[in-house]
Amino acid sequence: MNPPPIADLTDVSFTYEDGTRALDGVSLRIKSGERIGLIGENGAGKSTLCKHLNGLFHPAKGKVLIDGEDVAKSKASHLARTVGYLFQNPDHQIFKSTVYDEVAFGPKNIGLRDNEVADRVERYLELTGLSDLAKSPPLMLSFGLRRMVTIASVLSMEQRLIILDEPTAWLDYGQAVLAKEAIRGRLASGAAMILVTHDLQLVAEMADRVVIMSGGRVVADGDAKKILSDPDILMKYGLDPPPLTKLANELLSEEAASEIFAVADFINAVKKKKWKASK
Amino acid sequence: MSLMDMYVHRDTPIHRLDPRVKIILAVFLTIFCFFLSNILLLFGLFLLLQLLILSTGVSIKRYSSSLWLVGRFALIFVILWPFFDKTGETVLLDLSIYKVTLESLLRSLSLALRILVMASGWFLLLYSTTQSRLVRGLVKLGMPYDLGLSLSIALRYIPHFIETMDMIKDAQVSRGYEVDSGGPWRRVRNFIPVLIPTFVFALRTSEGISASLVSRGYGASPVRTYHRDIRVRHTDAALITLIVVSVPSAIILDLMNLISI
Amino acid sequence: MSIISIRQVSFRYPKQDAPALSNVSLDIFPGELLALIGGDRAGKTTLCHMLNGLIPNLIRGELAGEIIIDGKPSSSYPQGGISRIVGLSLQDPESQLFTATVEEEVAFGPENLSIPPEEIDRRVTWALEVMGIENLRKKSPSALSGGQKQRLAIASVLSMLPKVIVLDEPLGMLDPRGRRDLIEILSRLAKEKGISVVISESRIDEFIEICDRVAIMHNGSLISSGSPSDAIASSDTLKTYGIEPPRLQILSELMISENLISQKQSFLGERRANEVLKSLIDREKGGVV
Repeated sequence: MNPPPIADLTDVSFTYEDGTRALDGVSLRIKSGERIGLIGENGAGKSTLCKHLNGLFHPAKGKVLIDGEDVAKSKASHLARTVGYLFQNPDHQIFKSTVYDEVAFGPKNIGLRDNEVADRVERYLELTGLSDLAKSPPLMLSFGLRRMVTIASVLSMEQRLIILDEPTAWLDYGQAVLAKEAIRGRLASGAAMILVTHDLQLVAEMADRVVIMSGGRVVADGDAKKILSDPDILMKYGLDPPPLTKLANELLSEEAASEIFAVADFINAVKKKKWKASK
Repeated sequence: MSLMDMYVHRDTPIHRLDPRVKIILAVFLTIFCFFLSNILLLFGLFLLLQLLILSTGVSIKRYSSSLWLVGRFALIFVILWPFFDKTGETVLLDLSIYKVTLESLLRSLSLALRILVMASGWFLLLYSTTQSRLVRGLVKLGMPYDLGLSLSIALRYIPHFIETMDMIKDAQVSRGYEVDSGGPWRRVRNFIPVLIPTFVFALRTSEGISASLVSRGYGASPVRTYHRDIRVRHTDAALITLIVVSVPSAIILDLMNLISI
Repeated sequence: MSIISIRQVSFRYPKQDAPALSNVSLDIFPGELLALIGGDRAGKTTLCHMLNGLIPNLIRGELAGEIIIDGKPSSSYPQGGISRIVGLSLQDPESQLFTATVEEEVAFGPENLSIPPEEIDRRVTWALEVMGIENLRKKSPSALSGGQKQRLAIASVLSMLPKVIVLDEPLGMLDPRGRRDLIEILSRLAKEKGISVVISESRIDEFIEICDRVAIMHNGSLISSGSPSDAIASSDTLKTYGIEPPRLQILSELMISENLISQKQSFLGERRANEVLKSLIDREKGGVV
C-alpha cells in the first residue's frame, strides 16, 4: 500500500498583486521521505512555490494538498505541525532573550508537553553545537551562530516535510558540517526535504531528486545525479554546474562524465583513462 | 502604498515645474480650502486640478483609486451632514432627524469639495515630483538639508519596513505561532514576536544607513553641490506670483461676499 | 607603496569580552585584487570597516595599533574625508540605497564632495557604465534585482573616484549568474582601471583565479597572506579556519597523493586544473601511440 504523498500540487498558479506571475501551472508530487533539490535563478518562483506548501500563500488557481489535506482550508500556524520552513534571514524571527527559549518557541507552539519540549531543545542544541550558548542572548551572537539557532528552531519541531532555504549560506565550514549532519538526522527518520539553494554542490550531497524552476514553471524534474551531471540543461536555466562537473565534461568521456559526483569518482575515471575522444 | 511610490515616471510640463511651485501651490490650496466656501469656485478649481493631474500621465485606474480613498471621506461628510445641519428654506427631504435642505446640501458639497481640492493639490505635487526634488524644494524654501535628507530617507524606507514586517510575520507563523487570534489585548500581546525582530531590524538598518552616509562622504564638505539643481524659470516665477497673488485675493473676495452664487 | 597600511592593530567592541581583531597587519597595494577570506567571527567585517575609517571614526571601541590611509592616520581625517580614497560597500545593499533613482544614488557621493554638476554627470555616467547598469539610470533602486542592487551600491562609491574599493560579502544574495557577472566586473576594475579591490567572502572558489592575493583570517587574526597558492596551504588547514576548501583543491590533493600528478602541478581553480589535466591526457595519449 502506498502512503499518500506528503505534498501534492496540481496545476498551481499564483500572481502577485503587482501583476507578476510567479507560478504558472505547477504540478508536483512529493513522496514521504523524498529529498528534493529545488533550483533555479532568482525570481524563478522557488520561494513562491514553497510558501504554498506551508499555507503562507493560497493558490489563485489549482490545488495544494499537504498530507492529503487541502491547504486552502487550513491555517499556516496549523500546517506548521507538518511543514517546517527555514528562512534565510535569522533576524526575521529571533526575539527571545535566550537561545534555549528561542529554540523552544516552535515546539511549544505546536502543543508539545513541557518535558518533550525540553528534550527536543536539548537534543537539537547539542546537534547544532549550541549547548554551551543555551543561556546566551541569541541576538548578540554572530550571524553564523544566529543562523544555527534558526536551524535548531526548525528541526526541533520535527515536521514531516522541511523546506530549507540556503541552509548553509553564511555558515563557516565547521557550522555547515554540523548543520548538514543535523539535517541528515531528520531525513534518516523519514522527513521529506525541499532544499532551495544556488549551491549545486550542496544539492549533489543532500538531494536525490532535482526540480528546476524557471519563469514560474517546473522545467526539469528528475534524478539528481542525471540532472546535475548535465551542464547543458543547467546552463540553459542560468545555473552554474559544480566545478567538478564542468571539469569532467571537458576532459572525460561522456559516459564517464555522467557518473562524476564526488572527487573519488573523478580519480577513478582518471585512473581508468576514460578520456574524452580528441576532436 | 507609500508616498514614495506615487511618483509617475514621466517627463511632462508639470514634472518640469520647479518643485517649489508645486509645494507652494499645495500649501496655498490647503489654506485656501480652510477659508473658501464658494462652491462654484471650488468646483472650477477641482476640475482644473483634475486636468492638471491627468496631464502628469498617471493612469486613470491608479488615480481614481487614490482619489477614492479621499472621496470616501468626503462622501461620508455629505451623507452625515444633514444630521447636524437642518437649517435652510428649501426642503428636499424630511425624515425629521434627517432633513436635507438645498442650503445645507450645498454647504456639505462645498465641504466635500474643499477636501478634494486640498488632496488634489498634494496629489499633483507627489505624482510629478521625485522624492529628491521634493526635498530639494523644501530645503530651498528654508528647511535644513539634514532634516530634508532624514525626511526623504524615512519616506524611502517605509515600504521596506512594511515588507520586512510581513516577512517576520510569515517566519513566526511558520513556527506554529498564531498572530491573528483572540481579543484586542491578546492580539497586541500576540504581536510581540513580530515587533521585537522589527525593532531590531530597524536598529540594524539605521546603523547601516549611518555607516553608508559617512562612507559616501556625507558631511565631507560644508557646501554641497547638486547634480541636477532646481532653477526657477520664467514660467515658474510667473506661476508662483500667480498663486501667491490670486489665492489670497480669492479668499478676501469670498470673505467680503463679493462673489456670490 | 601601499595605499592602506594596517600595523599591529587590535580592536575590541564595547561590552565584548573577546577582541574582534588581534594584532593584524595588512597592506593594500595599488590596483591589486585582494580576497579576504574567513569563516564566521573571523573579523572580516571589522577589518572592512577599518579600511575606510568607519572604525574608529564612527564605530568606537578599544583600538590599538596604526591605521594609515594614503599617508595619514585614519583618525586624522574629517568626517567623510576618507570616502575620496576608500569606498566601502556594506553587506546589506538595502541599507545603502536611500534615494529615489539610480542616478541620484550615484550622484549622492560626489554631491557631498562639492563636485561641480557637469563633473558629477560625467562620473555618474562612467560609474554606471563600468558596472554595466547604465540602462537602469532612471529606475528606482528598490525595483532592482539583488545583483543589480549590489552593482548600484558599488557604482555609488565608484563615482567618488576612490583608489580602493572594499566589498563586504558582496556575493551572498546573488544567484550564480549574478555572481559570475559581478566577479568579472570587479576583476576588470582592478586590472583595467587600476583600482584596488578588496573582497571579503567566506568562500574562495569563485575568485581564486582572478585574485592577486589572498589573506586568510580566523578568530580576529590574520593567518596568512600572499599569492593564492602560497596563502592556501592545504584543504585541511582551510577547514580548521572554518573555510570550505575549493572542490578542485581536494581533487588536486588526492591526485597528488595517488601520484597522478606531481606536487608542482597542484591546482586550485578551473583554468589551472584544465591545463594540468590536459597535459596529463596528452602525455597518456602520447604514451599509447
